[in-house]
Amino acid sequence: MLIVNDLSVFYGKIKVVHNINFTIEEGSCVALLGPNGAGKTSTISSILGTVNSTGTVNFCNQDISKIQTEDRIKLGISIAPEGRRVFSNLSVFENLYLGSAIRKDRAIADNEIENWFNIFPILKERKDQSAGTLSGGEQQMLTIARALMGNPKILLLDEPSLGLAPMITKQVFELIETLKTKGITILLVEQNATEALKLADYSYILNSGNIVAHGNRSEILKKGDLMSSLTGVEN
Amino acid sequence: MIDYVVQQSLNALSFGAEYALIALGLAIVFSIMGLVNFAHGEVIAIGGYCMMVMAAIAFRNPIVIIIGAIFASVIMAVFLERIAFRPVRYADATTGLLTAFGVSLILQNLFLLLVSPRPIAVTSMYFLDWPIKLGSIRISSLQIFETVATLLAILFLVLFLKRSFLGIAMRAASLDFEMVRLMGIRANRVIATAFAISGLLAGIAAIFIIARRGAVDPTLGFNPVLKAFVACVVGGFGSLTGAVLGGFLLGALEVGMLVILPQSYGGMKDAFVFAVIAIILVWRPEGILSPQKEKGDKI
Amino acid sequence: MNIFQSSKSFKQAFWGATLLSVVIASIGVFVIFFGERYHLRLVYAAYVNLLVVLGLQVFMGNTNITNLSHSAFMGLGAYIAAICVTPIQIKKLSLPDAPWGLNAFELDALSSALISLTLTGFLAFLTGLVIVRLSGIGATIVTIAILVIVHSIFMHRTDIFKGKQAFFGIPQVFDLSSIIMISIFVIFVARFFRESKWGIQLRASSDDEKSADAMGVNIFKLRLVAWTLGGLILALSGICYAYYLGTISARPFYFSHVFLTLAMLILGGMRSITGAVIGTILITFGLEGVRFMETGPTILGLKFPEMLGLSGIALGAVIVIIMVVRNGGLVGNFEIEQLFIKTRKNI
Ligand SMILES: Nc1ncnc2c1ncn2[C@@H]1O[C@H](COP(=O)(O)OP(=O)(O)OP(=O)(O)O)[C@@H](O)[C@H]1O
Ligand SMILES: [Mg+2]
Repeated sequence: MLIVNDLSVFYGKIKVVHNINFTIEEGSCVALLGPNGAGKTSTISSILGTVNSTGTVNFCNQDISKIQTEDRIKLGISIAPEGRRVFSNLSVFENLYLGSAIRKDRAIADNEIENWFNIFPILKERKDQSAGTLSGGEQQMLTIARALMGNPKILLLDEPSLGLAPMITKQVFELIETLKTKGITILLVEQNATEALKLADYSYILNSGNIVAHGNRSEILKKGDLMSSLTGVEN
Repeated sequence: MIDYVVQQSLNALSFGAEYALIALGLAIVFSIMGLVNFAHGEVIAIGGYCMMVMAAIAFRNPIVIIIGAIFASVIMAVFLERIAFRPVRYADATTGLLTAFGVSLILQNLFLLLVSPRPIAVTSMYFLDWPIKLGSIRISSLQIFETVATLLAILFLVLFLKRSFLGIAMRAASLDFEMVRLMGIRANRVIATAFAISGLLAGIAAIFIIARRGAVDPTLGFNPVLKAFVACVVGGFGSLTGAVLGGFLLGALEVGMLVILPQSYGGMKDAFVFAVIAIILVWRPEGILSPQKEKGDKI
Repeated sequence: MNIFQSSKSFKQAFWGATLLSVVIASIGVFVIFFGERYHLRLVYAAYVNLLVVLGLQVFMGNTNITNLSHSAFMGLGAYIAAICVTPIQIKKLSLPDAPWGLNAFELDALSSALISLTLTGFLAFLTGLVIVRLSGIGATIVTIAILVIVHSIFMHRTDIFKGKQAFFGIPQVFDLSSIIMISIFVIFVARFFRESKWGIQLRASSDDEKSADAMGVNIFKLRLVAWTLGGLILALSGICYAYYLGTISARPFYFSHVFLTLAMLILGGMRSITGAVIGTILITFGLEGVRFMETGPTILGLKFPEMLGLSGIALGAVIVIIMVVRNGGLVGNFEIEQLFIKTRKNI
């Protein structure tokens, strides 16, 4: 579904991702792991077209590397970004409402907002409250819900567990698990490699802008030393 | 004595209304793309010139002229965004500010070159202005129109920003523009809407300025925008509430200065007003109501 | 040389300034020998503008904060010097109602200039205390406030400044050769400041306030130094203006002059002194051409219409085009000596 080919990312003249390749099959959950500054967010941004990059990104048999960010979203790529970035001056409801921007079927979308409220009663309670007043965990739920409002073909999740208490983290991963069973294609970027490896069908390990390992969980876990040095996962 | 106070308060209100209208136009663009649009004055001026042209080619109906002027300002604002400000959209604030200065300079001189350096009479808006006597208070109908129109414009804007999809997107964009794009909402659409609204407000302002002055010249909008700019900063640049508040505060300040200052210092009103503004900025460098700085993350 | 981080910065600054001085001096000397009277005046005015642009560069170029009050400081410098130096007999005539005995004393040119520099510099320092604490747009607003305030004072205290009317009778102190020497001096000052520890730190901090904070740099103090130094140079430009023309009025110290000099600085590139000089030269010559067209000349038998406003359009276009196409200006961070000496990449 998503094929990244020879991708490099640049900030000015500095190259932070070096000619990487990876593939995400439809309906699968792929994890992108690596230490801080490895280039994970940069990779995601280049799929979205918000940074300078070279190489190609192929989505549903279409080269999207030259088209505008907005058009990529319209093709069905959705993002729950690092740091959540909820619109803190907007209400919870308005955040979700904006999430449905690319939908033509407004009425169904409105139903879905209700649906999300049922999944996260806390969001319903805070419906008219500004999103900035939510707790970190609630904001994360809102971010994921907002990203899903657009009915995406693929969901990019950038560090959904960042800064959350273990209990909440567990909830977030359960949510991702649910999404997976619903058949949504997911690219998951995570610091919490142990959990991510459990969830993902296939994983790529990124270090200093290079993919240093890839495979399914057991393949990755075999490379024990590398893993523990890069992601802290113990065998 | 009471009458005098009421009289001057009404004056302050209508002065303030004009500044608030213009300041809102500046703030709405700034809040979304961080551009200080100094060429806003010329968007007002184009409204004035449009009235002149329409009156000259024998449009008698004032409603038609009003609509034409507003339309011209909207078109001008959107056009400027398209040709001058889009290329500097993601540049830093200084680049945007200087570009706007350049645009303002070009337009002022174009008016001068194509029309005339001298003021040209435009009398079609005089019908808005007749004296009204309430007891011993004497005001002009124009003041009432101006205040009411401003309040209506603010109301309309609030409704738009709260209720419409694009309005909500614009509020979101003022906080995190890129995230709005990541929702699949076109940046061009949001920004063009912001400019269209600012043009609309400029057009309304143009009508009242012309109704009061009865003439149009190349610098018609420059001084009001200079003041409105100040109003924005005092209120907190980028905050729409701040712009309105700053506008009315400025109006009050100006009338206050006229009342307090002896006759011989009347000409120095601007100097005093700007001095007070500078002092306010020293006291509150981010403006009285500065917008929220932080993005929506809690880590 | 402890104002420099290394002897290399000093060398660069020295050679850069020297080369620019050669350019500036040769243009001036050429005009002195071959120009007509009418040229002399024009070229003198261009040198005054060069001083203004350099004064502007010292603050704007190093801090990246847009300043629009420079013409006001130039005006202050001009008027203060003019009031001190103009002979009593003339002042009794032109300023009969002047307060504080302003029309009852006269000083020699040097003392007048020193007084003007001191007072304007002090005013710059005071206003600077406010400006350096504000962020970009807020600071720009206050500079506009300064411009408007100073201008209304010039316009309405006619008993001191004569407003729109001419303040006349200022003795002619300078000629073209004096301003050439002053320009060279100021080029050195501006260039040395740019390459000094302070200049380098300022530019680093304007790129990234946080990291500068972390480096323990006191940005406010540095900005204040730049602002005050800029103010002094602007005062000097005003003095030079008054000391040659003999007559001044409030009009030229307002927005149109602000834009003119701003365009000069922006065109060349505000981050470099070379840029400031190149921008001034290009716009000065360019505008002469445009002004010629403005008057509706007949060229090759073709009669052009009178086109007032053309020069304003040209200036505006220069600003917009530079901002859109190349917002570092023509030369960006380049300085002239880099043509001859190899240097590490400049900040
Ligand atoms: N806007 C930017 N400008 C310059 N360099 C950047 C920018 N954003 C990221 N970088 C650099 O690119 C590299 C990769 O950053 P990136 O954010 O992609 O890492 P990451 O893997 O997402 O890290 P983390 O786990 O901390 O989120 C880092 O060295 C970072 O300093
Ligand atoms: Mg990241």
